[in-house]
Amino acid sequence: MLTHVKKNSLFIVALSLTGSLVFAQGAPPNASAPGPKSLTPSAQQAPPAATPAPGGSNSASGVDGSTATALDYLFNHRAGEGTTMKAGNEVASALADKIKAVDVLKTPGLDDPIMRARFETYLSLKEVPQARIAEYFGKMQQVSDMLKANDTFGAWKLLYSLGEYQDLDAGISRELAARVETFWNTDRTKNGLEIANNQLRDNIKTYNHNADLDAEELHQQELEEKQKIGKGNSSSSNSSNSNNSAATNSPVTSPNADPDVAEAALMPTMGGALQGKMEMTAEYLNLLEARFKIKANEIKENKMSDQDRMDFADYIRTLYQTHRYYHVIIAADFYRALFNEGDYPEDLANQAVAGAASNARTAADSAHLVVKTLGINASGPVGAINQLGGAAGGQSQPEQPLSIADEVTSALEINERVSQAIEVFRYKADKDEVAAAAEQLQEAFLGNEFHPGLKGLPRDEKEKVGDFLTKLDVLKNQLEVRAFEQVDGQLADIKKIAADFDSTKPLALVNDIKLESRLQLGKARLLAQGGQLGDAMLAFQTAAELWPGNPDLTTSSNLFFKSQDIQNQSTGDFDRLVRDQNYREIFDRQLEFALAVKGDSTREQQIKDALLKVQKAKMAEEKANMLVMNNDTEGAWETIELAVKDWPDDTKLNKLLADLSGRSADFVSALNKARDAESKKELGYSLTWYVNAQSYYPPSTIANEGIDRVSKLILSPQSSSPSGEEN
Amino acid sequence: MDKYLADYRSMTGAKFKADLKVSADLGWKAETGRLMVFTLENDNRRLVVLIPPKLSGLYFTKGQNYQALLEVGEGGLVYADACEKE
Repeated sequence: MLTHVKKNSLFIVALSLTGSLVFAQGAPPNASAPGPKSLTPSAQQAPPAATPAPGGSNSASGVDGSTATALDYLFNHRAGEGTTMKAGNEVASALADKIKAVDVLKTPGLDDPIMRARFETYLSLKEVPQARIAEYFGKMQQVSDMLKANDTFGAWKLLYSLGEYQDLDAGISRELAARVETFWNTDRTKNGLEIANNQLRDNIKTYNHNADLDAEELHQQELEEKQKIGKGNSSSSNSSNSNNSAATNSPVTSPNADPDVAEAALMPTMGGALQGKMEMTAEYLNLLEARFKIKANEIKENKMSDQDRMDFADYIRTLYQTHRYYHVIIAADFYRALFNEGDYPEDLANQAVAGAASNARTAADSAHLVVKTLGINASGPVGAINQLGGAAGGQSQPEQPLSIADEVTSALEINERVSQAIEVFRYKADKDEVAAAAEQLQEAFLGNEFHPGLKGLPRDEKEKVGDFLTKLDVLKNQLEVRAFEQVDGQLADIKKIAADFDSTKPLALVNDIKLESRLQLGKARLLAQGGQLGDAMLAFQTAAELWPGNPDLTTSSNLFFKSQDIQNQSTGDFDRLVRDQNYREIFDRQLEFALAVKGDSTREQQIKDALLKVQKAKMAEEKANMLVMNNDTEGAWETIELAVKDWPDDTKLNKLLADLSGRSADFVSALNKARDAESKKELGYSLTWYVNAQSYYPPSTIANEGIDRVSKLILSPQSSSPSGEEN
Repeated sequence: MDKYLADYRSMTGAKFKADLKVSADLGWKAETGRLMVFTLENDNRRLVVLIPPKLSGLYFTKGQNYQALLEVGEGGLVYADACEKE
């Protein structure tokens, strides 16, 4: 037993280090990144209308149009596949993982809300006086000592005393005492069976004796009968011969004898022999029955013993599984005492485990302990080693339960570790190193929350840990929702109560994400300036998701989304100007409209047509001005006249044309008459006026073309079509 | 000339003699004739006259003077019924 424990302890100490390393590198299952849902409302919204309402007018809530548009975009737009936003979301997700990975923020094991609630309750509980704890521990030690001295009854009585320490014991000792009592009751039943068996054995002796007596008596009777017969034969030769002959020839044996008289004469001899045989048979049957009963009782006793053993082992396992490690040790001592065993029995399952797998499993159990105290689900190592055992044996085996020996060893080890953690906690708390103290206290609590040492820790020291963990939770929440602007203040608060808290990593993380947000914002600005409004919007959204409280967001959104409003406004203005054929305003605002209608092919064509029209008009104006400067007023008029033909409704051109008409009256008049006559099919008259107009201004395009056109009509009236007339 | 230019319709069908000076040739068609531009004496304004095929023997050179019998036709087209070089 002692050797076994030591061996296990060595394995645990040596391999727990390996286990620690292995599991320190493995990410806990709950360390996975949270969904973006908690990051921004955008992730929780259903996809809405894709295009924001134009106009961007002020809302009733006082939010201006630009902000409303920004909010609409941020909250109602989802990232598409392969978009910049998707990349932004990936960045956000990676940063969320980073937040989770900051080890100083971890509270291992307390992620389980039930465990967390129990821990918080514990932190608020008043401490149990040290004297009371010492008294309890003293009695517990006394129980162990009594059991070692084979004073099981005394130890049992002391269990009831331990059970009275409700705040430390929770009635577990009383329950253990009840279990022991149950065993004894069963034992008494077994004793009753043994007494019955002893009685039966006595009976068997009696039956044997009686049977022997019966046999002896029967034998005597037979001898007596033989002697009687012998005497009768000798007298027949002498005097008795006459008796014998007399008997032979007696009236009884005589065929003529009275039957009743003959029977009366013979009965004493025959009845005695028969009765003796029957009695002996009865005794023999009793003996067989007694032997059968003894065997049956023995079977019953053995069965009860096995059941007792199993029940008690199960109870120890239950104590282990519920972390009642001190009671595991006491219960195991009772087990040895009650079942008169020098060592704990090996579980059948453990016997089946091969050597290599067994050793590996011990290692896994060690790791299990360490990991368990760290609050990590320890099913992994045992399961892994069970698989190893299966691999070694060529087939997989089901997970093996711990033996009682393992449980006791584990319990001892855990209690030792918890005691150490409590001691370190006290040391750290004395030095006001609350962060380290909190870590130790969590480790101790997760290792064995029922450890009496934990119960004796002063409430004010525990409350410091509680405050620290609460503030740490707030910090974690701030990081998770990316309220980075509040993190500095929170870190300062934490530092006030826990000077040893290392804020380097959280600060580095925050600065990292802030920088990323600013970079995304800068990217958004650049994209917006480049007219890539869609991509700019997505980059802006990424920046906002990374750091929703970024103060630059407001400024940027005003600038950025005002341009978005302008875009909406511009589109409306553009449509109105196209309807009004106010191409000159379109020309004047061409940069604004070019951005606004980008991607809209219809409007893009409209703006191209408008710009071309205005450009031609402007060129005509410039040319006319130049011609006027050279006293070529007819040429100037004709230039504007041709421009007006392309754009009849332009007031500027028409005004200019009117001005020039007065200054080239003869030429203009001649042309007008020529065109008027041409339209009336008065070709001769028209041609004369075209020729006269041309005489006023020989380079006149209108006149020369008119002459050419009308001449052909006159010369070839059949072949020439009137459709060639100038309109 | 003034009357024609002011309202040719009132002269439609009328014939009159005019001293013409060749100004330009606008074209020729065998079946239609030749379209010529003339100026009147002491008048810079131009008059377009159709020289019919029957007068195709005439060869007009810019600056030449002709005396012609003119008739105002439909659409204000002036025809030369006869034309003689001065």
